[in-house]
Order: sequence, then structure tokens, then C-alpha cells
Amino acid sequence: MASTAGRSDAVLTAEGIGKRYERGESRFRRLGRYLRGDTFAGDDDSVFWAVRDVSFRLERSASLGVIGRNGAGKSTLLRILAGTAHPTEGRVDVAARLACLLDLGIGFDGNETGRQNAQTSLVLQAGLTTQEARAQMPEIEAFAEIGEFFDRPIRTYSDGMRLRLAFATITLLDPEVLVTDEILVVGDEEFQHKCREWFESFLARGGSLVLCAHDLSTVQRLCSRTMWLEAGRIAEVGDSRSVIRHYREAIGATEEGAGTRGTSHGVGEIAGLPFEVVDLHLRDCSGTETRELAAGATVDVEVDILAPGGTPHVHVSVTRDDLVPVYGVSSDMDGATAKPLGEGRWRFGLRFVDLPLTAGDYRLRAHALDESATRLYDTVELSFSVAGDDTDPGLVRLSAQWHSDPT
Amino acid sequence: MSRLGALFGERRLVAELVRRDIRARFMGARFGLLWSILNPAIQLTAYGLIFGFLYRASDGVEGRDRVASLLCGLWPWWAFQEASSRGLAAIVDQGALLKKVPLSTDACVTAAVLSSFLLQHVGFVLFLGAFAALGRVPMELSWVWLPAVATLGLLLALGVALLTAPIYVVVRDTVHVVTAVLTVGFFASPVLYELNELPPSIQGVAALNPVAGLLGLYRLVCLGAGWPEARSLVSLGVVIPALWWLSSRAKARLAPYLDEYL
Repeated sequence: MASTAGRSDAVLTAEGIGKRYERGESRFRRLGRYLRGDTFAGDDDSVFWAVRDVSFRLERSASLGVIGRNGAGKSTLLRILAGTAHPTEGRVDVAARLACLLDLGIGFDGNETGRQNAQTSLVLQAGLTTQEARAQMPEIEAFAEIGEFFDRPIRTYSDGMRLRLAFATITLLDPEVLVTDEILVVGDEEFQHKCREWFESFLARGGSLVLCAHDLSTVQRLCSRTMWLEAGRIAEVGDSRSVIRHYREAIGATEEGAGTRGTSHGVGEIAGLPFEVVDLHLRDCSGTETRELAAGATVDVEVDILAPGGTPHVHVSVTRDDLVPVYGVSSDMDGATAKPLGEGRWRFGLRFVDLPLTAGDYRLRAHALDESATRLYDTVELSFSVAGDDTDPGLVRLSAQWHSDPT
Repeated sequence: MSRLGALFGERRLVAELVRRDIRARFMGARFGLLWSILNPAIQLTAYGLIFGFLYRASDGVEGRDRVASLLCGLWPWWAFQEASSRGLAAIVDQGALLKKVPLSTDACVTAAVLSSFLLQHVGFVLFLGAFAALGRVPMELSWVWLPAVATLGLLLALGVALLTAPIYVVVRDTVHVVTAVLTVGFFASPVLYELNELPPSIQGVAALNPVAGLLGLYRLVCLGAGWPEARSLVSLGVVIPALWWLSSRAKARLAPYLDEYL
């Protein structure tokens, strides 16, 4: 059961929570058993634990990311923390004002307008009077930036607009703890940026956050600690960077084992193209294949392209893990040529000297181009990370020096 | 009582849910509230014609106007019936909200019952006033007790709804059982007739029906009829707390599982 009994400085405490679902029993039998207070008598095969033995403490101003594959129990855990699902075992203590934003919504009614829904949410979740809620509408309208749609039924909204309204409403709920899931998967880049800024200021003001997301870079950026769930249980919990790295390794290993994704074939693996990337390597200065770079390291990129019918060109790009572009370079623009390896295979070599990327996760992409570099045939990517101080803002570390003699 | 106290503490939440429910009912309907009055009025007129012209029974018990007696039987029954039915479905109806916002299920059920009761009583009071203006009902000081009687009806309907709503979440056949019981209840309760119009041999048994006590109280305060059978009042006084006690027990047992079915 969730309760609001506080415990020391933790704003949210979960102790051994578990959620069990039982199968193979008719609803009538189940109702009778529930009313009698009997426990389920089925065998282990009839029982499914969506979440089991999950314990953690969330301190004030702390943030916890929850990651895991589909079906790992993330949504169930969030619903238990939010108080919309009962744990079968264990307890959740909430010692602060908690709000939740789950599945891109906060219980909006599709037939009501954005204004009516926002007003209702403030009354239902923040306990405001109707007049108080009405007074907050201009602020929500300004934050949501959905124009005249604010007074139209929500069923006419896109997912992005719905999220804008939900998020704007949440900001007015002024929670001390926010439990939320894939909030940044919809909406345009500008609004995502606005949300990230709000999250950062929310945490800086002493708010606490539980964020569940598949977008690992967002989790890493916003959450100091991360919990990795696997089949309903905690696989690892700790520093976000380390947990996410281990999670990525585990996911990668599984996918490689299943033959779904090779080390250098993430996107556009199409056999038989006239210009096809067949290999992509990232090596440190000793020539060793690497995916984890030190800040400011010098690295070599090696791209093999199979082009039996002509001489290929290549475009190499670096993006952040959330696909924000960092840099791109093409062999044709720089007048670079490939080394022929025979049998239609060509190799490009590219060196990044003192790579100035800030700490984080990135993607390296190689695109095969035709002889005139006008048509893109194939794209292959690999992920890598740059170690360093996580607090560095921005994408690259520019060469800059403070001096004591400003003009 | 602690449950009533908890509901009182959630009055702002309940009020907002009532507003939302009423808005949802009349959304897109130009004549909104008018329909919730017009349809019962048509039924009342139909029953009045059947009794007045077909069976030539325009005079009711103790010389009271038959249609006025029907008004005080039918309309409170509709309020009870609609409130019980909508309250039963309230948790399922609010499932989308309850999956995202940790709200009390009692508040959802209460809001559905309350909005039905309020809307039905708007129509009832309007018609009672119209009947008084036409001289078919005496305008009595006892009308001031109407809110108290309506509150008893509300507590009865709320007891039924709070008991059946969590059960309906698990087993959806519940709605059919309740509908059947309400259909039987309509004819077994003094809605179309008054209790002392029944053969004396069955009056005693019929008086055990708590709705008989409730409708008797409506006729007492609105029409100046005599006090209802003591047995029916005792039954009302026993059944209301019994329903609330049972519903608390059911809620305690079922609450941990409800989210699985929403």
C-alpha cells in the first residue's frame, strides 16, 4: 500500500514491493476468493510477477531513472509509485506532494477542452478550488503554446499537443516528487528542450524525479541514479552512466546473439546495394577497436564500402545519442579517396584529432555515396561514449581561456 | 461514519467530478437539462393518463391526487434507480482517469450518484412546484424536510452503489443482476401505488422494503400523507447502515485487485 507516512529525509521509499498477477481462474471464482480473503491456490505456472523485490529510497532533489526492456515491469512499478496500482507485497511511503504524468496524460477527458481538462486536473490533483484553478489558466495556456486548441476538445489534439497540455498542467501542480514515463518521445525539438529545462530547474529547486524512459540519453542527462529492471527485478541500480553502459552492453549482446544487429550494421543493412557499407570501425590511437573514448582522445574511423560498379564516396557523421547532429564530413568535399582492397571493396580512413566532445553517448554513422556523391545508398552506425565530467554542458568543448584583462 | 467523514473531506474533489459528469451528460445537447426533465415528464404523463382515464382511478389514497402520488413515487424511484446504476458503473467508467491519477474510488462513485440525484431532483422540485401552482398538491411547510428525505434516498442509493461498484469491476455480470433486481424492485415498491392500497395480507411483507419507507417519507413531506408504516422506516434505518457496512467490507477485500481489471 502507498502511504504518506514520511521517513527521515527520503521523499519516496519503496520497500520490497511486488505485483503479482494470477491466471487460470474464472472471474467468479476470483471474486469469491477476494471476498473471502483467501490466497491464490494455483501453482507457480499460474502466477506472474510483474515486479518483485524492488526497494529504493529517493531523497529530496534526487532523480532516479528506470530503464529496462519492454515487459520488464517499468510501467507497473511507476503505477505503484504513483498510487494508481496496489502492490501485492511491500509498501511505498510518500513523504511529499507527488504528481504523476503517465502515458502522455494525466487523466484527460477527450471530449472536454484543454482548458476544462487543465482546470479539472488542478482541482483533482492539487486540491485547488475551481476559482483558484481558473486563475492558473493563463499560465498553463502560455506554457503549453497550443494556441486556439486550448479551447477545443482534446480528442482533436495530436500526441504532441496532448503532451504539451499535460506537461504545462504538471508544472502548475507544483509537485515535490514527479513520477513520469516516456514524456520526451513526442513533441517537437523546441518543446523537448523546454521540458528538459523545466526538469533541470525542477531538480535544482529541490524537486525529486522518477523517470522511466527508453531514451537512455534523456535518462542519463536528467537522472543521477538509474535502476535497471529485468523481468520485474532490479538487475542493477547505481550511477546512471555506469548502469546505462551495462544495460547497453547487455542489450547489444542479446541482439548480436539473436543475429538482429551486427557490430557495425545498425541501420540500413541491405545486401546487394550498388554502394554498401560493409564494415565500420572506431579505433583508438593504438589501433584497438573501442567504444569508450577518453575526453580529447584521437580516434580513427575506418569504413569499408562494397561498390563493384564504381568508386564510392563516404559521408561520416557524429550525432548525440538522441540524434542531435554534432558534425559531418564527406570524402568528396575534402577530395579524399578510398583505398581499393580488391573485388569491389574500398576502404576510407578518417582521423578525429583531440576529439572535443563532452561526456556522453554518441552515434557514429557512415553513409555510402555513389561516384558523384549525389545519391546516398546505405547507412550504418555504431554507438560510442565519451568519458569525463557529466556536468559539462553542450556538445563540444570549445577551446577557451579565461583572462584577467578584458578590454 | 468514518467513510462518510472521508467523503466529506473529499468534497471539493467530489464536486469537481459532479461538474465534470454533468458537463459530459449534456455535451453537444442544445437543450441539456431540459431533456432530463422532459423524458420523466412524458412518462409521468403516460402513467397519469393510464391511471386517470383507462382505470378511472384519478383519486388516490385518502383522496389525494393520483398523479401527484405518482409524482412522489416515480420521480424519487427514478432518482434512486439511476443513481444506483450509474454509481455501479462509476469505477469502470472512470477507469482511464483512475489509471493515471490516484483518486479515491469512493469519490468517483459518490460523484456519479450525486449528479444523478441532483438532476432528478431538479425535475422533481420543478414539477412539485407546478403541481402546487395548479392546486393539485397542497403547499405545505413540511416541504422544508424534502432535503432531509432526499438525503436518506441518496444514502440508500450510495450504499447500493458503493457495494456493487467494486464487484462490477471484477465481474461485469453484476450490472445485469442489479438491473433485474431494480426491475423487480420497481413493481415490488410502492411507486405506482401506495402501500395501503395493497391487500392487507401482504402489506406487512411489503413494508419490509426500505424503499417503501423512503417513498412514504416523500409522500409525507410533499403531499401531507400520513406517516409511513413503522416497519418500513425501521427497514430503511437498518438497510442503509447495513449496506454501508457491507460495502466497506467489500471495498477492503477488493480494493487491492481493482487496478488489474481497469
